[in-house]
Amino acid sequence: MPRPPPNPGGYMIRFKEYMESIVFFGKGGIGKSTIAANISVLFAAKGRKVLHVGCDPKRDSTLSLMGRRIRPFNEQGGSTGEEALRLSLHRTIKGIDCIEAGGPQAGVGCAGAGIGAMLDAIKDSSLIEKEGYDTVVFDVLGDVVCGGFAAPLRRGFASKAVLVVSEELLSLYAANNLISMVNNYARNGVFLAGLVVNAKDPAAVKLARDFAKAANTRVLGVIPRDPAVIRSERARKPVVALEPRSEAARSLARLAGELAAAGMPASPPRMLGEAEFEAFMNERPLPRAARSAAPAPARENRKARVAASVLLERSGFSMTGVTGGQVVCAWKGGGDTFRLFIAPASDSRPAMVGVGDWAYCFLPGEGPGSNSSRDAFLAALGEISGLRFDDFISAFSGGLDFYGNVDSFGKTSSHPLMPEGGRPVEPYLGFGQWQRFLFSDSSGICIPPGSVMVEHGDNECRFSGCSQTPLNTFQKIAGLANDSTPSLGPLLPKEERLIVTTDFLYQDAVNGDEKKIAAALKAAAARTGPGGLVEFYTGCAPLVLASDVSSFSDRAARDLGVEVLRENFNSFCTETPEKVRARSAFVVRRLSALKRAKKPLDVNLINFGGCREPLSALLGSKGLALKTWEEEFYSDIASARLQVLSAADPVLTAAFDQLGIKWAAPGAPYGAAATGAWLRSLFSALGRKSPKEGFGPARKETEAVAAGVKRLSRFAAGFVASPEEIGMLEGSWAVSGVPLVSFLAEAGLALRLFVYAADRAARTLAGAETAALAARTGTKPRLAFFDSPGGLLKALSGDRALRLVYSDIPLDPRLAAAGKSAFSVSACEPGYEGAAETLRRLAQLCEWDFNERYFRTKSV
Amino acid sequence: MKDISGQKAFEKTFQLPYLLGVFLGLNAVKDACLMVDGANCVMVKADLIAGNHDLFSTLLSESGRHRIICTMWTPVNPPKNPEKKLGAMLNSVAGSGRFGAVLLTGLPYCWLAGMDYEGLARSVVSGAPVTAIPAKSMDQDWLDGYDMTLEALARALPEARGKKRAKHKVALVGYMFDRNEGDHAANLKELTRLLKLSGLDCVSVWPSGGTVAELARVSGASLIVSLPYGRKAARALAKKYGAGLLETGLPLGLKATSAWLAAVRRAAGLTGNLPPAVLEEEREAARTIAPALRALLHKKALFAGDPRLYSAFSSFAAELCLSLPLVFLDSAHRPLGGGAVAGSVLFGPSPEDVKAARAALSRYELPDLAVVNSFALTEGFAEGLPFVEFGYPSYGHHCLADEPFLGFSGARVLVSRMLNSLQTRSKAGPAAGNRAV
Repeated sequence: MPRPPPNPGGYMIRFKEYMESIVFFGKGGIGKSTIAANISVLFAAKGRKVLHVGCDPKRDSTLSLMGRRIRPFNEQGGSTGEEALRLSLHRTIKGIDCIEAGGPQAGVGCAGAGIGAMLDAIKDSSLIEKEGYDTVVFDVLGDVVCGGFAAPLRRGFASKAVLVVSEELLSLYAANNLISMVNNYARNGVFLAGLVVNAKDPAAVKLARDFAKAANTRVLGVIPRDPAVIRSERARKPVVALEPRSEAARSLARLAGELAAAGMPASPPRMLGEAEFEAFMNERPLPRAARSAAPAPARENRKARVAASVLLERSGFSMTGVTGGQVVCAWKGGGDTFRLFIAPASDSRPAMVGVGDWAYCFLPGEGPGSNSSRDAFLAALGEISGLRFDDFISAFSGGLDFYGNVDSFGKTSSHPLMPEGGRPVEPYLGFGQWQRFLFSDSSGICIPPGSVMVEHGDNECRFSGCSQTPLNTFQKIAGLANDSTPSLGPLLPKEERLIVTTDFLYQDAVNGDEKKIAAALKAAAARTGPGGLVEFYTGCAPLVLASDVSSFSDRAARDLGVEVLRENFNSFCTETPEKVRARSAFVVRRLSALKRAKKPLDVNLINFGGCREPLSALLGSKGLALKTWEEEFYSDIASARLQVLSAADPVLTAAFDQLGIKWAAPGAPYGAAATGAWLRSLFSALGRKSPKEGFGPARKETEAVAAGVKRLSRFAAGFVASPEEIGMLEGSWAVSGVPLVSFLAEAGLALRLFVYAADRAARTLAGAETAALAARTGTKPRLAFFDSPGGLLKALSGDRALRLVYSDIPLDPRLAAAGKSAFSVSACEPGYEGAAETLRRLAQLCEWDFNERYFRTKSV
Repeated sequence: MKDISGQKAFEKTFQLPYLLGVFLGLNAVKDACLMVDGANCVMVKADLIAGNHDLFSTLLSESGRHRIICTMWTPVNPPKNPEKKLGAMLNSVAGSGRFGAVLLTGLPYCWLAGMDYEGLARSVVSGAPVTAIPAKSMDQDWLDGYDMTLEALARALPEARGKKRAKHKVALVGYMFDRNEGDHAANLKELTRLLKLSGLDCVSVWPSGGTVAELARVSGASLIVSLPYGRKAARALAKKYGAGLLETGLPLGLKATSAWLAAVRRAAGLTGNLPPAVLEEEREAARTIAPALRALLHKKALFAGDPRLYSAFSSFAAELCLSLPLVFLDSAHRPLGGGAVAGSVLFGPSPEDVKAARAALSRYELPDLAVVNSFALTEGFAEGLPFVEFGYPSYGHHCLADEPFLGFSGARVLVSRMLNSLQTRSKAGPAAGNRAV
């Protein structure tokens, strides 16, 4: 098979005609540095201008060339870029320029990152062009343990790769893996020049030659074990310079000639499969399956030009998600439905069944339920066996029409609902499907004042949060806990709400972040004080480098008298059992430390944001004593007989239960009925009699509500939802706890549900969910279905009474195109006075014709 | 490599991240798409632009057709070969027919993990061009990110072999088009108009809120005028298309605008002085500004924002007899242009540094006015001062109508804004405090 021509984008490729760039790989301790250094000397002796690059944190590649260790690139103090490069360059007496990437102390930091940074600097500064090198030799650390060590290949520096092997079987094992890496980066213009055998045993040389043949490559040279090499190493000199007549020196000279002459092979080498490699090592004939496994055959399906998505659909497969590198796929056929994971064959797990370049397994607890369904599944599998893994990904993402396939998620949004009623992930996945009309509430569990959260992350992490503002594209500024007067624009993050950032930097990655972790923990412990709580969140960059947080956090806990909780990512508000326990325990410690005093107040409102003021006024009007402002979180709790929560927060409720503190979190008081119920609950929890004037609204409020109801009675309000979302429309987190359906019904609005349902099963589920909602709220929502954006637009446009449609996207253009007004829970205010204002707002939106007049799509 | 030797633990920094600059560059090219390798937390940065700063941004979409796509690669349970999925996604996006160019970059941890973005970008051979933006978040800032994005777009353009370049056709490369609002639209109108008046035809502005195809018109320019926000792209384009290259500052203020036009004319091969019509415009603008100088003369202004804008603004300030005793710049340290006026200049200061710098001013150095961006306002840098919100981000000041700040028209608008601010005495408040993160 002819290879495609090298892509002209590779960095070195444009110099290739007059330039040699060779990279040596191989198992650790196999003699790479010795061979590489001698090759540099031999090329320099031919009059070439050579740059020798050591990519090993041991920085011993240039030892024999320089006769001493040189200061590496990553230890040039405050110098960066070209300045650091120039300081790191050292010239030998033979005129070879040497540079070492260097690296951290063994076991800390990331040497790969350092190598990458040095190569970036070489590229950015055009060092090679400026200095006119015509040969660059890279000597890379042992096994390529991470992408950082493949940097010469990744960044398009190398044109010829050489794998050094010996008589050790593991060296061939490493070489076999390295072949896969070289092939992966062939797109950058690199090719495998061949193997170099550094061995004394003729049998080992034969083994290497046999391996080379099996892997479709060749042996470039054999370097015998020669005492001259040991002597030259002791003398810190290359053997070709110290003992040029030795056998080793002569072999190296031959190798240099072979290397210079090596051209791109006609066909690429191939990595032996695991079984094939094992068979090879056991000197057994290769299994037939293994022999036939490599190079993928031409695919019939491709020939027939049947689109992968069509073939998959025809065979009963639908893509439902991508997790990690795997596709989650549902199969329906033979009277059965189940899901399977599909992964690249190279990533497959032992339980997976291989098919071409991909493999599959069933999701736990799923799979064919009968022999007939198994047969049907296998037949369907046969239909798609010619597909490649890429085809699954493409089908998932809508194929060529990337955004056109609404149904590829089976949802009307870019984020599938989490199972078992969990919250959906943020509306940001961006695989291009429709955004939901209903977003999750951004509030999480209570962060107790006085605790400190440390985010161990980089500057991008620091800017990964944005406050809710009136101009955000997607919004959820609603509910009891939200601030009704959000900031006008995003604020400079972070160090807010007790969250502090360590600003993890490049040099922490290369040299290790231990000192930073220790300093951050110490500073955080000082802020929270003895008995305090420090939550340490490790961000992605330190996670990649496996930063050692545990030993430091244990020491901080022991020495500084604080509790340290370790978490990953910036999941500050995410609820986990351990976090709830630690935060509750901290609240208990803080409250226990307060002196017991009389409780002069009836209630204390906790986490009511901007709703605190109107609800305090409401409670005051009914005769309850409370503070209308928040003074100090813990002493406020201690001063009241009843703690009223905006939601049953698990942190606070656990702490209150432990301390015997009375609390209540009744349903949110939105609408007249819900407000009355809220008041009754609080009085009941306090053991107080009803107020003289009762729990109902004042006369003025009653009149205002009645006026609103009258204005709204000729209109309808609707929701666009998936079947699973229907149950969330009343009082759930999805509507910020607002009993929205009941409130709208109370307002006199007729209710509509526009449900995305592409098949009968979804319509059946939607019907059942709607019936349940109707029973729960005493309403009669009218149900309509759609299965495409166009279908929804038509359904919305055709309903004349419908004026309001729910969306958490302000002024949602999808609704404007239907001439409708978007509304959301952010329009809802609590209490009786709030109910009247909410009805006024909704009526105003119903009567508003801006969208109808200017944005309505005429041709539906 | 950043020098953090003097940094205290846990400070906020008035220094914006690399990817925010990348997002700003993307925001300015309406049919470009950015694939970010990494978790979806990166998407939140779009909120720092879309809606809040740019009312007409198309980075995010209610239909889910965001122009930023992330791979959801996280360090916990990563796939064995994350390049596989990324390669397939790139092919899919490039082949969608929706984009003029696809850009690829990654979060810092993906870079640490050794992802080969350049190679992956090159491996996409059909559909829209795909180019990689180096993932430099760990040691570069937003201005670098913006520059790198423009440079990646320059790489995405096709070669223009044999294309004739007419004399006197120029392209402006490296303009900070941070939003699709009336300030930038009016700036571009003003610069194009003034160039026309000077005998030059502006064929392309990089970027200007248009499409990739519109950017490709740069190949018709015989001179690339390199503005400060895209030096790399300007060099790359001049080399690619064999055009002349002139590196300039921003034409902000009267003298600076005339000097800029004269320099561009010279570099484009036009001889002689600026046409009389241009000089008359300069004099007319000066006559308009003159009455306002009664209020501005000897005033002192605090500047907080980007260093490129500061360099340009400082020379205009000198023209107005304003001085700038205190300057806070939201980037890593970098050389300032020659026009920068001496004063106390801090790069990437923390709010505490700012407080200390303000406290250290003597009685006669105290500022009367602040010309600042939104972050400086919410952090209380300008507390107690009348202010003009200027530069990125401007969350509190939007332009639904033309409101330039470059060229002669821009000078009038800017002076008018400073005057009104001083006269209404509407003062900036204290730091926003412990609000949302």
